[in-house]
Amino acid sequence: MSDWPALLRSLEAPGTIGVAAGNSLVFDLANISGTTFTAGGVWPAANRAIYLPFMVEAAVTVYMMGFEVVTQSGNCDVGIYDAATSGRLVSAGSTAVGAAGIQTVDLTDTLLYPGVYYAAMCVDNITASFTRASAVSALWQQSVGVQQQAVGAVTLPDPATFANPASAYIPYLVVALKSTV
Amino acid sequence: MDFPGAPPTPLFIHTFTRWGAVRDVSGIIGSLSPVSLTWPVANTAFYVPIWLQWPYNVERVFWINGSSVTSANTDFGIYNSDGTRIYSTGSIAQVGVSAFQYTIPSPDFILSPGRYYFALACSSITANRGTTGSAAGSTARLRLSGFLQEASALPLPATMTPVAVTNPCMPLCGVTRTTTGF
Repeated sequence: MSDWPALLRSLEAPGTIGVAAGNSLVFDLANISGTTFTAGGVWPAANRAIYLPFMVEAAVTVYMMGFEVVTQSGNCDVGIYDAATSGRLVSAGSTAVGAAGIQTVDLTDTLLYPGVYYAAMCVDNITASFTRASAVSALWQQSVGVQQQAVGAVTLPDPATFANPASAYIPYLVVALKSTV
Repeated sequence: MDFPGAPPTPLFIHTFTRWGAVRDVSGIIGSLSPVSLTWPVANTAFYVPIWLQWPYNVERVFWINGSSVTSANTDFGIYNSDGTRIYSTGSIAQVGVSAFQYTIPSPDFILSPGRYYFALACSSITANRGTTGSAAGSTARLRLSGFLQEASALPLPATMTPVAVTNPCMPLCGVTRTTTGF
């Protein structure tokens, strides 16, 4: 092994970074609690943004985000934030929640350098439902950095104003590192 | 970014993350979740193995109080793998039910890559005053995962004199590199 510090880390980027993936800090909750992400949980509050932290260890390009719709209703927004600044790096803008099944939302191709980021999602109603985990307490979510915000609109804000989570609801939200999911 | 670039580090390191031995216990017993704890023996400290693969800047330390805090004192500490105390909060009265309780080390400090123990001691054995954590599993599983305990250890001693675990107790406690928030 070279003594020279690695400029490019050897970790291969996965196809997606999901909330249950190793890059996600939420992974620890899912892993230790043995919780499962199941279908059918309505979004906990209208126009609430939920921020889920993840780490990037080698530079990656983000192409889209995805989630699984169970009940179609209203609009949503997804995006990525820099945890260090709370600044929004990219977001889709208000997007209709699709029919039941996988929904992917294109983003402007965005390069993420090694660091900690938030995958964010906001929904404008409490009828739409998604695949999510509901067995992890808000306090435990807080202990890995999950945050939320009462946005007042569906469009994700810039910057975010973080608050601690109030409900046991973790959407199965993924960041796609390929243009096809 | 400073050359050659510091590796990214998580917002929190605590006993219930992948860097703590609680994960080993969960892997053995299947699953567990933190709840409001009743401390098994007054003034006993529990030592939870932690390992870090990068330097970590400790700006705050914390535990999560249980659903009752009256007349309960807690001490959180960090020990190196040889059992020497690196930092401790000292005995502090619990404030705020079911809430994070932070202490800011002054000055902040860096934990180098390596193995450590996060320690927590509590004075009260009244129900739900033992912070938040888990009493799941068995003493055998905690022992096989590297947990240790020590009686009469509030405040936490300068050097650990641990014994094998006789009470299954896994407190959720740790550190964060953030100075505010959460």
